[in-house]
Amino acid sequence: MKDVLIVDDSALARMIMRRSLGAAGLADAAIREVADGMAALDAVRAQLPDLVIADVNMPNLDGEGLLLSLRSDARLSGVRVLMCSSAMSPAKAARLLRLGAGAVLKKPFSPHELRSALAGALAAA
Amino acid sequence: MNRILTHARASLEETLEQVAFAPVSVVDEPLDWADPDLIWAEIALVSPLEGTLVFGAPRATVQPLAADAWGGGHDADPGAAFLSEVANIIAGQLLANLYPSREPRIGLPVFGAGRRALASDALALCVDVDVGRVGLLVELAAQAPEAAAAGGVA
Repeated sequence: MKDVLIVDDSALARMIMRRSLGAAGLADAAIREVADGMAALDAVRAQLPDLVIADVNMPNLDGEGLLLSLRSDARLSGVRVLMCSSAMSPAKAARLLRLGAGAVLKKPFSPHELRSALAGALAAA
Repeated sequence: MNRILTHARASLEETLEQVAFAPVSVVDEPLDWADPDLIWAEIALVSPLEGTLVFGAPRATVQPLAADAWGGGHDADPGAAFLSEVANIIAGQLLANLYPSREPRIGLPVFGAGRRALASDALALCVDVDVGRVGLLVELAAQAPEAAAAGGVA
């Protein structure tokens, strides 16, 4: 069973992602939710997930900050990360991938787009 | 319809259809932003375009849309969360689509209730959904140098 951590300050966005993961083939995943990057770091340290799905635009510590924090910590650096945002320009997507995101996803997303992004993120080393 | 509203409309249609499963059609009359029963979420457009985007509707219209989006089972304020998430998505998409080669930056959504005072040059869009009307405003900062190039203020 996959352990997935959803990180988004919007409760609705977390619920939509949770619902979408079920439709994308991860119905049996153990899903945890937190509302910002700081809480995500705590959750990852407490238990390494198979995948972090993080929004970019969040209070306290945003998604890019979370990604940088994960990649700079030897114990956490191998965690797979899928970044999502509505404000996803090609340049921003490229930067997030360069920083170590396994895949990026633009909101709103279709089930097909989510499946493709999940495949990319879970395949990333 | 200018370029900003064209992109905003496309994003609003796509977002409502994907988040709340609600097909929309644009209407000519503006939403009554002086309606005391309105609830809305606004979000700052930081860069490349400076201003504010507001998404709102009468509470009675928002409730069924939010219920469809949530699929039930939410005990806090589903309307506020629904408006905030839709405003967030539209604001991000609007900037990304208007300026595909630049990095869009937006603020965090802020929820409000009651009549919403409008800037005199606000760009307004109103659409019908099957449970009522929802409105979108884009208020451009007066000093925004990109405003004219992006389509001009109505």
